[in-house]
Amino acid sequence: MGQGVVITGCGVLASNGIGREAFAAALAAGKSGIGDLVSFDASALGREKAAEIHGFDVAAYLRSPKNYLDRNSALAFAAAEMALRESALAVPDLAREYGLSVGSMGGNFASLALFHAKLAEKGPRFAPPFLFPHTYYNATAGLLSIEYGLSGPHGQFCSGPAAGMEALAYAVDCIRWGRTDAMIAGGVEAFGESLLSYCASKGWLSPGISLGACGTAAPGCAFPGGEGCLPFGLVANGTILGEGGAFLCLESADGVRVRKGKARGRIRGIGMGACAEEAISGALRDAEVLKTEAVFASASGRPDDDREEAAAITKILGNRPIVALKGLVGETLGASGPMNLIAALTALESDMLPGSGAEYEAFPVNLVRAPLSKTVNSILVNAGSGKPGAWVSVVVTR
Amino acid sequence: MNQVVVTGMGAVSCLGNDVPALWDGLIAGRCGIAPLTRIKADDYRNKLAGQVAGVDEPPGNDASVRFLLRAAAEALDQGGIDEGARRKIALVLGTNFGAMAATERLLSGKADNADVALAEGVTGCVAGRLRLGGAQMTLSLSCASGNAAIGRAADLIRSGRAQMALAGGYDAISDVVWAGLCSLRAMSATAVRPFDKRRDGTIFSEGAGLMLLENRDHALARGALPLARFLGYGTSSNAFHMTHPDEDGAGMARAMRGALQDAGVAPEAVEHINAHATGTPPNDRLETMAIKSVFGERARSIPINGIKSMLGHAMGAASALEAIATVMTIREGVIPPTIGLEESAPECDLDYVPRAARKARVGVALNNSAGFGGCNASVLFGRWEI
Repeated sequence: MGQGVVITGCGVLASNGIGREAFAAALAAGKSGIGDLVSFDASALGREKAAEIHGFDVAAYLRSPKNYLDRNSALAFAAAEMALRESALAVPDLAREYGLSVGSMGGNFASLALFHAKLAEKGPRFAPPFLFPHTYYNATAGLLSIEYGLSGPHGQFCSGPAAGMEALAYAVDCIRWGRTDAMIAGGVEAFGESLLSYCASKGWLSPGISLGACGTAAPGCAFPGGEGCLPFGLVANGTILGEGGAFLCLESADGVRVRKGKARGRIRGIGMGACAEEAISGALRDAEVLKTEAVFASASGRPDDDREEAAAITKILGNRPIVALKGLVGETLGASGPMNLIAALTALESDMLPGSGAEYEAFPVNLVRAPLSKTVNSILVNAGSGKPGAWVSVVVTR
Repeated sequence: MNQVVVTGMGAVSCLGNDVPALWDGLIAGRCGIAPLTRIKADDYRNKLAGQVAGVDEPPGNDASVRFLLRAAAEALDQGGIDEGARRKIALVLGTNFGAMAATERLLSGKADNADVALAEGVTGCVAGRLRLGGAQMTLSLSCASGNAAIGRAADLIRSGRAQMALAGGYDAISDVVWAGLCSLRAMSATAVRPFDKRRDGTIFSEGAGLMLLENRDHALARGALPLARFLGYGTSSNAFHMTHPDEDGAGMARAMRGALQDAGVAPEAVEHINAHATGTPPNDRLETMAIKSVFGERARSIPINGIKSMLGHAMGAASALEAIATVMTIREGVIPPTIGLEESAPECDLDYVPRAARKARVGVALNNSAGFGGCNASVLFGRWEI
């Protein structure tokens, strides 16, 4: 498999905690980030719930002042800066040609919507030229590479919930195949009206779960008739949209030794495929292991995907404990895979598996409902949707 | 790692709607740029474009989806792929803007074609229509998207994660796209003249270019005839500015060196370069510098062409269409010309195959691309020899 790849830094912003410590504390406490949707009026779309990040100011994370950053770029800047601070990797280091890989399904959709609105208002001849470059899917990646001098391998992935993990997989491949020694890689997704409308049009969102379908009123599952995010739930009928940023600093094991950096976890294997089963079996094969001790699932409450993923996990891994993070943070799309991976790393470090946040009737899988003290040494982390679709699985160990 | 070969190609462009039409146009030095009609030209500063004509099926679908379905049908047909084999094919698509006309409708509150309003939806839609059963991947490195998709798809095959992948890039002209591109004032009002003294900008166009990439052993076992070998690719960032190229072409040079290193091929082996060559004053000067920095004195003896002079700059499709042209050059022994190049600029002093196509035996060729955000991707192809 070539060079060993280790994680030396993580940065995370989630609706239930900003920063590694707050995120870890939220997971340990079973704190949900799902609540009333407040950033705009979404009643026309029939949405009342979301997993939004509150109290976030990007200024604390910027190395140089910026005239304009949309929320997608701002979340990415904050997460990348946190990851770099934790890793203590010196950047820019132009001679070393470190790389960057970003995943985001909607990219800078908010900037595009703003650009579109300006055109509608004033006509094409008055299109704001400063805004246009920010509408590209790869705008965030471009801005980050400039900020940190990341001049090496460069990727921007925009699949669905797998996008962030596709970015991570590209980074891992680049390091183990010797293209570079270090990559900043992760995913980001900003909650916004355009993205919500797209997800609603695709039928991904829970239209509300009927009264009495769920045992108790729980975070993210407001009854009667409220929208619910119930990963692997028998009555789940869609997800709740969230937002987040999750970046990792990945380095070659040799490179970290040389610079006397600290490895916080190891990427042992990557699998990619058209369905959960292909991705999971590919990752285990790549890691040269038969099983892992726990699974951090992609499950988001979208019934078809959850059913397929549950069946694949059961078939390949048996009755391993399954963590369904999206019960706490909603569907964060491009951010979800790397966020799941950072949660898994936190579990390896803290000997605690987070719960999915609510009591409801679920598929017959070993779903971790409430925070569970348990020492595990290896975790399989999934991200994906569709069959055929885009799925990525990662095996991470201490 | 597994070896990767190209077993099928499909192209939709302003020169026609299949690879033969593209190739015939290129070697004849035909320019596909014409007055803009897809959208209301009166509203815009720039009124010339390279537009696709006659790809209207299936009706009611966004232009990007139609372009992709047409190009995919050609590539799968050339690859000899039957219905059963489609189950194994991954789809890796790169784009700047996805199906922007559909996105605009979603943003205007209209629901038709909303399922393709983001690029991931286009990939899912195309995979579904073609009944491709492999993994789906969507990426975006702006105008380097096609090359990046081809390279990453090859990674999937090299690492054994896929046996076959349909990969490439696409984009279509829409109001938002054109308004944005016009606002940057990087377009010429007359013609794309790469490397010429009078060059004054690019002209954008649209289309789709797809390649069927395949594990060499898999291709041979099923009796497919490889068109060329995929040798390697490199990506990089200028890490300099969102819309201006870096000052010395170092970013493009890193992508070229990355491709050579990935392929394990020495610079001396490269016999042709299909350049990014947008016709903008900075790009062509810096790309020339980058080529010199990678190839040294030998740069002067490598025939380089800039086919955006004929195809326009097809955004996400550009480097995929150019990759197809690069493979055709290797197969046919003909290098399409750089048209519109009457007098090379002093800072552009290499062999750009001006005016007319040239016969040349090419064993290894490099295809360059670059895009907004300062990203670059170069792909290296080689002759298929048993």
